[in-house]
Amino acid sequence: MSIFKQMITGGLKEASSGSRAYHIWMGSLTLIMLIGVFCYYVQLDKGLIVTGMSDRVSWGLYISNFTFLVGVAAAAVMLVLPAYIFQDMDFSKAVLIGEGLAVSALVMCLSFVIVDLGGPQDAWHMLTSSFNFPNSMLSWDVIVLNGYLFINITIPLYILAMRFQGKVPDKRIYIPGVMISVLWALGIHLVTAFLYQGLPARPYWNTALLGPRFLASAFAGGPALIIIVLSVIRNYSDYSIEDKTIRKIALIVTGAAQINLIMLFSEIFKEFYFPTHHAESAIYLFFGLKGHNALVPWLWTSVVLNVLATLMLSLHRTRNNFRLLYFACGLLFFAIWIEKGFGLIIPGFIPGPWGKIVEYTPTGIEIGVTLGIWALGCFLFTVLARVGIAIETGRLRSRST
Amino acid sequence: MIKKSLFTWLLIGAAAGLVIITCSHDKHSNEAQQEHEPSLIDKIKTAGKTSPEVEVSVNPYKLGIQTIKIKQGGREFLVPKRIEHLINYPCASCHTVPLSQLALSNTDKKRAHWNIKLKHASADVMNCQTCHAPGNLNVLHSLTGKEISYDESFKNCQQCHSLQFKDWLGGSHGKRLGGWAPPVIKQTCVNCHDPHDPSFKPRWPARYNVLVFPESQRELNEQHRKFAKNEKK
Amino acid sequence: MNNTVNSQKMKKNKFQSFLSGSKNQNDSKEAENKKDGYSQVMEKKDGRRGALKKLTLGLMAGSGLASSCNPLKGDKSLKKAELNWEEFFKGNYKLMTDKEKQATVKRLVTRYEEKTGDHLNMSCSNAESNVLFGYAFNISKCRGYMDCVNACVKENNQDRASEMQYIRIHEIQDGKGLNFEEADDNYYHEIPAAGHFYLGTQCFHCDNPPCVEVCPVEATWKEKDGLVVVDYDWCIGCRYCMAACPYDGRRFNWATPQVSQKEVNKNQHYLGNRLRAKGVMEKCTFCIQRSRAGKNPACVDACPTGARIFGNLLDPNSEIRWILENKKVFRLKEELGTEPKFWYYMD
Repeated sequence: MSIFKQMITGGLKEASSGSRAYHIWMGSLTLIMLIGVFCYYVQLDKGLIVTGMSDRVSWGLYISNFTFLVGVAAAAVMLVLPAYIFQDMDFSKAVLIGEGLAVSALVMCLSFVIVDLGGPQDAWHMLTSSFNFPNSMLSWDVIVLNGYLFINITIPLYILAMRFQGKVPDKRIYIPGVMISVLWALGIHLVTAFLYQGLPARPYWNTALLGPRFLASAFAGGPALIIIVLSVIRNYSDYSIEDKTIRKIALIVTGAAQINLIMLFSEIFKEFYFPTHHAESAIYLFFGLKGHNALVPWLWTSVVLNVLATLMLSLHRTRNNFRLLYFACGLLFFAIWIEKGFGLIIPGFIPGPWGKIVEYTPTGIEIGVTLGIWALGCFLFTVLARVGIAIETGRLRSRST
Repeated sequence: MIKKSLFTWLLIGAAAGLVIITCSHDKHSNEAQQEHEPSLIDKIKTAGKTSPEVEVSVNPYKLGIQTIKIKQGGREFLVPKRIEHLINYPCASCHTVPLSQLALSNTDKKRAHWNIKLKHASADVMNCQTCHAPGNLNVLHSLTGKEISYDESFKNCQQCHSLQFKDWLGGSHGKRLGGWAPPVIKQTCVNCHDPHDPSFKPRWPARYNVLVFPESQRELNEQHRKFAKNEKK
Repeated sequence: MNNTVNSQKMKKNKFQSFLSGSKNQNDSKEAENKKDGYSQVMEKKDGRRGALKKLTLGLMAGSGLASSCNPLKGDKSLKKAELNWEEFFKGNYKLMTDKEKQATVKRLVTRYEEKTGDHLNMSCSNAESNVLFGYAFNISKCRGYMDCVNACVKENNQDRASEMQYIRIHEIQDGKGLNFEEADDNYYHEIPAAGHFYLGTQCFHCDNPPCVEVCPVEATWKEKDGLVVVDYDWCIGCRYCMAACPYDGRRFNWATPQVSQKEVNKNQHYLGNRLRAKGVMEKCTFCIQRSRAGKNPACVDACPTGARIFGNLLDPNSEIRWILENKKVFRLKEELGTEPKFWYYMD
C-alpha cells in the first residue's frame, strides 16, 4: 500500500513541476476546463435547451465526439497487437503510451455521455435490476466502456508499480491482460457501431458496413494521433522513441486509411448509383437537400483531406519524411474527426422520419462544454504520460530501492 | 510461440464467455418470451368470438343524454334521443293544417323556417317532402311513405346513403359517445350533419403550428424566455 | 337497462378494490416478488438503507433546524425532506407493487398540493386483462382542422412554451402518394385545400416497439393493454429511444415544461399526463388517464369529422375490429416489423 502512496505523492510532485511551457500548457487546459464547467452548469440549470439539439436532431456535438473518441480509445490499444506481432518493438513502451491515451479517451467518452444526459442525477438507475441488458446496445456500451477503462487502468498501473520498485514487470502477468484489452478494444468499437447500426429507423446508419468502417477509420485516426503524441514526447521529454517505432505505426495508419477510403467509395457508390429515399441523408451530407447544406463544406473538407493524407501516406517518399508524416497524420486525424463525428451522427437525423429537415448548429454553451472535456482529456493524458515516463526512465523510484 | 498460442486461447475463451453470458441471460430475459409471443394479428384473432368482459364502462346518464336502443345489421347499440332536442316539437302545435292547405293560403310562407335552405342534393332528387311527411309533420317518412320517428331519422338517410350507413353500423363512419367501453353509444347522422346542409364546411385550422419545426433550438429557447416573462406578470 | 346497472356494479367493485389496493390479487403477488430499483442496490432494506436515509435526512433538515428554533417548523421540513428523499430514490414504476404505486402517487399529490395549494387527482390504475388498445385513422375523412392537436395539448399538459405536440397532421397532395418528403406539416390556410388529403401521425404504440428495446434503464415499456408508456421519473434522458423511433412519436423536454397553473389538467395518471420535469422523454399514451377509465383519447373525442376510431382489439364487436375486417387497412413503414397498433383506412 505504501508503494502506491509513494507513487501517488511522487507522481503528483512530478506532474506539478516542469518547465514554463508545461505550466502554461496545463494552466490553459485548467482554464478551458473551468469554462467548460461553467457552461455545463448553465446547461444543468436551464436544461438541454441551451444546446443546438432539438426533437429533430436529438444528438449533436456530444455524441459525435463520443463516437469519435471511442475509436481513439480502441485504436490506441489495438496498436499493441501489431507491436506484438512485429516483435521488434519495445512492447511495454507502446503499451504504456497506448493505454494512457485509451484511458484519457475513455474518460472523455464517458464525460460526453454524461453531459448529453437529460437527467445525469438519475444515472444510478443503470445500477438497478432495470438495467436493460442485453436488449439495449447502450447497456452493452456502458459495460464494455467501463470494463475497458478498468483493464486499461490496471495494466499500466501494474507495469508502473513494478518499474517504480525497480523490478521488471512479469510478462506472464501483463501480456494476458494486454491481449484481453486488445479483444476488448475491438468490442468497444463494434458495440458502439452497433448502437447506430441496429436502428432501422435511421437508414443512414442501418448498414452492415458501419461496424467495419468504424474499425478502419479508428485504426487510421487513433494511431495517427499516437504518432503526433509520440513526436511531441520525443521532442519535449527525455523518453527515447526510435524512428523505427514511428515508421511501423505509420505503416498501420497507411493500411487502415486505404481500407477506410475503399469503404467510403463503396458507400458512396451504394448511395448514389441509384438514389432511393434512404439516400436522402447522404445527399444532404454530400450535396445539400432542398437548400439545406450546412454540412457540405465540412464533408468535402474531410473527403479531400482524407484522400490527400492517404496519398501522402501511401507514397514512401512522403511517409518517410517525418515532417510530412506528422502533417499527413494531422490531416487524417482532423478528416476522421469530421467524418466519424458529426459527419456520421447528424445526417442520421436529417431528414427526420417524416422527411422534415431541421439543421443543427451547436451553440456556444455546447462548444464550451465540448472544449472543456477535450481539455480534461489532454490534461489527464499529460499527467499520465509525464508520470509514466518519469517512472519508465527511472527518474521516479520508490525510496526503498 | 507460447505467446501466440496463448493469444489464440484467449480469443476462444472470450468468445465462449460471450456465448455463455448471452445464453444464460436469454433464459430469464423478456427477449426469450417475446420471441415466442404471437404476432399482433394472431393475438387479435385468437381473442375469442364474443365480447370479453371489461371492468370499465360508460354511463349514459352521466353524459346527460337519453338513448334508445337500435338493432340493425346484426349489431346492437344506443343512439341519443332526438325529439327532446327539437325546440318546437311537436310540430303539430303550429302546423294545424296540412301543408297543401298552408301553401294555398296567402300568408307569409317563410316566416317560421325562413333560415332553412335545402343544400343537400339537387332539386330534381329531393325537396322538403322527401323526408318530412306533409300529412303529419310530427314524423318523417320514407320514400315509400312509411312513418319514421325523429329519433330514428337515420332511416331516412339510409335510403340514399347505404354505404355510409353500413360503415356507420360497423363503426368506420361516425363517432361514439362516452368512450370505447361498453355500452356502445353512437352519434346518429344528424348529430354531426345538418340534414338540410350536410357537408362539412371549409374553415381555418384550429391552431397555427408554426413552431412545430423551428429552424433552430434558439427559437424555442426564445419562446421559453418569453413565456416565463408573461407568467411572472 | 340491465346492462348498465351491471356495469355500474362492476365499476363500484373496481373502485372499492382500487381503494383497498388489491385490484388483481395475482398481479400484486407477482409484482411483490420483484424489488424496486433502490432496494436492488441496497439489499438490506432496513439496515444500510435505513441508516443512510436517517443520515441524509439529518443533513437535509439540519440547516432548517439550525436556523429556527421552532420545533414544529423543523418537523415539517424533516417530513418534506423525507418525502423528497423517498421520491428521489424510488424504484422503476414498471417493477412496483400496487402498494408502492399508490405510495408514489400519494407522495406526488402531496408534493403538488403543498407547492401550489391546488388539489390533484392522480391514478395508478393497471391494465385490464381483456383489453388491447388499437386506433384507426380514416384518411378520407380527415380535413386537417387540427382540433385534435388542441385537445391533446390541453389534456396532456404539454409544454406550452415550445408548443410541444404529439400529433402531426400532414397535408399531402393528391397523386403524390404517401410521400412525406413533400408533405406540408406546417400549413395555415383554409382547409381542406383543393387537391390535398390529410394524414395524422403520433405514437403508434407498436406491438414490437424499437424504443422499448433500446432504453438502457427500462424506463419505457409496453403495458399489458398495449400502451407504450414512459416512467418520467425513471428516464435518464439519453434520447436513444428518440433515435430508434421510426415514426417521430417521441418528444423530449429540452427545458422545464411551462403550463400555467390555471391550465393544468388535474385529472392525471402516473404514466400519463402528470407534470413532467426537464430532461425527460414523453409521448402520446392514448390518453391513458382517459382510456383506462373507458373513455376515448382526447383527440378521438375532439375530431369533428369522425376520422379517428379507438377501441379494444380483443373485442370482436368493437368498431376497430370491424374496420380491420371490412376495410382495406394499412400501416406506415410496415416493412420495419414494428407492428403498429395504428391503422389507416379509406371510406
